[in-house]
This record gives sequence, C-alpha cells and structure tokens, in this order.
Amino acid sequence: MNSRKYSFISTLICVALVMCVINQAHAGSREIGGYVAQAEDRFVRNVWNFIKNFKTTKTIGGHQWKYDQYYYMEPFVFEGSHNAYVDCQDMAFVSCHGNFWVMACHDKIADVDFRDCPAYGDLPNMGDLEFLIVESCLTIIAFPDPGFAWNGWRHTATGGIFGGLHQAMGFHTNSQSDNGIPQYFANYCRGNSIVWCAWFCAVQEERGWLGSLLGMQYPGYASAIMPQKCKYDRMGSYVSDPTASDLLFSVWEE
Amino acid sequence: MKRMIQSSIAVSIVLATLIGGCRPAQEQRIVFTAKISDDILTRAADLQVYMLQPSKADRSTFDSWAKQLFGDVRIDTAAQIDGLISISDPKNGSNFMMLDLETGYLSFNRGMADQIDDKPGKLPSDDEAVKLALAFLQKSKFTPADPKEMTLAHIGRIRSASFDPTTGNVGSVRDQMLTIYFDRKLNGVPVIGSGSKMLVRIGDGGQVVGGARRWTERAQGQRIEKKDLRSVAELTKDITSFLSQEIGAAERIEIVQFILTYYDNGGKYIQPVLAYEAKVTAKGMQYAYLGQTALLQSPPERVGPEPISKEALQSLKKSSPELKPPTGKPD
Repeated sequence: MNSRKYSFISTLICVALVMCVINQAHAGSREIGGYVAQAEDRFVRNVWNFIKNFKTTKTIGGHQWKYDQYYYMEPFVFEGSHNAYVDCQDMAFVSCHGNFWVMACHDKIADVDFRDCPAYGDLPNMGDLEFLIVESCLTIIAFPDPGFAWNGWRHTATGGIFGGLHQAMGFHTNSQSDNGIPQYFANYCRGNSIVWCAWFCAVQEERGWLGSLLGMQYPGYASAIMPQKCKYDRMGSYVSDPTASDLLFSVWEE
Repeated sequence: MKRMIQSSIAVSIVLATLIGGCRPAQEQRIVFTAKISDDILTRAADLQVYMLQPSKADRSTFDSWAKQLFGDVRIDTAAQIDGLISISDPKNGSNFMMLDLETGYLSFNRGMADQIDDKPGKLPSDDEAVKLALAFLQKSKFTPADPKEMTLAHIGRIRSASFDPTTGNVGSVRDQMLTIYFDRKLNGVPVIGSGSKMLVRIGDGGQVVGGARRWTERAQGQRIEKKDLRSVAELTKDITSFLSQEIGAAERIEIVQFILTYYDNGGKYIQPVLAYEAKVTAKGMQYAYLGQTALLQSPPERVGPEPISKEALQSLKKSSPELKPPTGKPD
C-alpha cells in the first residue's frame, strides 16, 4: 500500500515538474513573422533570407526564437486582423515598396499607412509585437524628413503604432534590397546584439559607393524609432512594454 | 460538356502562356540610355581575376581580438551558430563582437546604444575622425597587407532627436556618431560587393564605438583576355533578361550608366563585372536600381542574387482576414 502511495506521489511530482518545464519553455518562446509584398521576387528573397535563420528554435539570451508566420502582405495583416498576424508575433520582418509612413502590399503605394494603424504590442488589447523591421524605401520616416510628426508614430486616438512596440526600423531614404542585409541582420540578432544597432550595422556593412541616382546612396540610409527605455532591447532580453507617453527617439543615418 | 470546358480552359492557358511568353512590350520598357561601348570591353581586358586567400580565423583569433577590443571580457561566454562566433555583454547588448570563421569577417560595437541621448556630444571633425579611424585600424593590425588598396570612401553620420509626449518638448538634433568607410581599389578600379570594405564608427570624444572588417587578402591576379569576355550583345541580353525577371511590373527601366568594377561577394574570388545604374518607374514610383552582371564568359563565382529557393516559395502562404488570433497570452 505504502509503495503504491509513494509511486502515486512520485508520478504527481514528475507531472508537476514536466508542466513547470513546459510552462517555462512557453514563457521563453518568441515568434518571428515574415511578410512579403506581392510585387517582385526580391521581396520574397529578402524576407526568406532573414526568417530562414530561425527555421529551428534558436536560444538567444533568455528567449527561444522561431519563425512562425510567412505570408503575402495584405492591408488587414497590419490593420483589422493585426492580432492574428504581425501583432501575434514578437518580431515582424516586412519587405515591400514604400514611401514616407506607408507600405505597398501589392499594387497601391499607400496600402498601409502607419499613422492610421492600431497600436502594436499593446498588451491589454492582446498585442504582442516588440520589434518591427520594414525593408522598403522611405517608410520609417525620420525627424528631418518632410512631413515627419511625432504623433504619427506615437499612438493617439487617430492611430500610430507606438503604444507598446519597442523598436521599429527600416530606411528613411530610397533603398535597394536583394543584398546581404537580411543575413547580416540575422547574424547580429542571433548573437544577441541590440536589434536597432544590428539593423544599422547590417545596412552600413552593405554600403557601397557606386553612383547615387535619385538621391539614394546604396543601399539607402537606415532609420529607427524607439522609446528611450527600449534603446538597449535585444532578442535575448527586453524591458517591459513602453507606453505612448514614454520619451521617443528618432535615430537616422545621413 | 465538362470535357469541352476543360479543353477550352487548357487552350486558353496555352494561348495566354504563348502570348505572355512573347512579352512584345518587354524590350521597349527597358531602355538603354547608356551604351556598353567597345572601350569598356577593351579596358575590361586589362583587368584580372584574383583568388582570395582562405580564412585562417579560428577560435584563438576570436579570443585574441575580443581581448584586444574589450580588455578583460569573459570570452568563455561566446556562442557559436553556423560558423559565427559572437559575444555580447549581458549588461549592454551594444558591447558586441562577431567573427565569421568562414570569411574571417569581424564586426563589433562598443557602446553604440550609449551614444543615443539628448545631451550635446562632442564629435571630432571629419578630418580628425578619419585620422582616429586610421590610427585604430593600424593599432589593431586590421589594415590590409597592401595599404594602398584601402581608400577612404565616405564619411557618414548617425543623428538623433527626441520627443517628450508629456511636455511636448522636442529635443535638438544631435550628431551622435561618425562612420568612416574605406573601400578597396585594385589599380584604381573600385571593388563592389559584400567584401573588400572596412568601417569604423567614432562616437563622443573621438572614441571608437564600432566597426567592421570585411576584407580578405588576395593572391596574385590572373590576367584575362578579350576573348574571355562576353560580347556587347550577350551583356545587353543578360541585363534585359535579369531586369525583366526581377522588376517585371515596372513600366519603364532606363539604364543610365555603366561602370567597370571588380566584384567581391565574400567568396573565393574578386572578378571583373559590369555594374549599371537604372531608373525604375513602377506604379507611380521612381527609384534607383544598382545592378551588376558578369563580364567573363565563365565567371569563377555567381554574380548577383541567388534564385528564390523552392522552400521559400513552398512556405509562403496567402494571408486571409479569417485567420483567428492565437488564444494564448501575449509575451
């Protein structure tokens, strides 16, 4: 009878331990989403060349990262259904044509305007996104650019994606993709570099000096927006979610 | 009836494929404002193919550079993934170093994120920053075996500004870092691609806050002859076909300049290529495209992007507004 009792208790302890390990593993698991404009082959390659580095789970600092979504872009991915797409991931990598504030999902340049989008990473509203990377021309508009407005990025009653999001990065000039940037960026991220630093370093390491057509210095100049408290955030560890009232920084290359 | 419909569909598909395959307007959309001259090919025949020396980088190289760049850093915490060794300060992710064992390329940061604040910094002048960058490269023994190959390419800067939503205060624009870029020239001909470059980031007070060394020493060059080169017609056809494939939706692609360069894709060779600049007009947008095509009939390595992998295409899904969000709590 005693041995049966001990056996039952041992089983219970084992189950509890297993559950605890599973819970901890889940607590540390993070998702990456890739989103591709339906326009050119290079957009497919750009996103794949980043997310392919996370086909299997990679432990980075205290988190385990794996790519979870790889979808063609539609406006609802960033707007109405954001909680099922970009905002149920922890990092989103997007590749498309763009202009200041906007992205082209397919045949319209202003398919998605971040000034009209919901707050991303807004935990009370089930938002999850921490890091947003947009490899496109001009989308991540920076302070000196015409039409820049802090309240376009900061979430207010009318829109703006920074209401929990930690860092957004891309280009504030024209840019050219289909090069080493996604892979260099993945290398830095996997090494647990600060994410926005990884982006700037990847762009700078791709830079070349032939020509400067239409004001573009190959491959374009990087930019990032982030609340001050998130400037050290990386895939391995990041601070608690910022709010829309946190001090905001615009960082850019010239 | 069903069979008739199926036959009609099949005929339509064949016709559409034939018509689409002909693409009558394709060549008219791609306009060569610049021409590939015989002079370019004559000059190309003076170039060489250089074999690059294999990387000798190993774990001891990493340890030695980590000590050199970070002093008493705990190198035992370095992680290795896919031939990349990296180390990152647990307290500050902008203290970071990464070495690619296959290529020997090194990247590092020393407090890059610390530079971003709202205080007036003190960056050196451009000339002073170049001197500091060169002194750092020399002291670190990062300069190439033939220092004449490394030339100053550009001085860039990273700037910032801030906004306090609680007060509405907008901070001043701050110059936070200078980036000094060096490229490679072989007998005056520039090398493009992912290799043959170095950069140094200079921060507040002239300190070195980051950099990258993407440089492989080369062996003796092998001369090429004009017969090894592709013809003007072949080059034109190749560029037309590539641009049609890659930027197929564009209304107009105007090739405005050709430049004879070398190409280092981070592999085993530096080879001559024909670079070109194009103005692309597509759906109301105009943007620049910088491309390159192999000059040699038998290039030692691929020039330009790899084709899309089958795995990528098979994994890519159509999104649907019906997709439900996950029920778990966000993390």
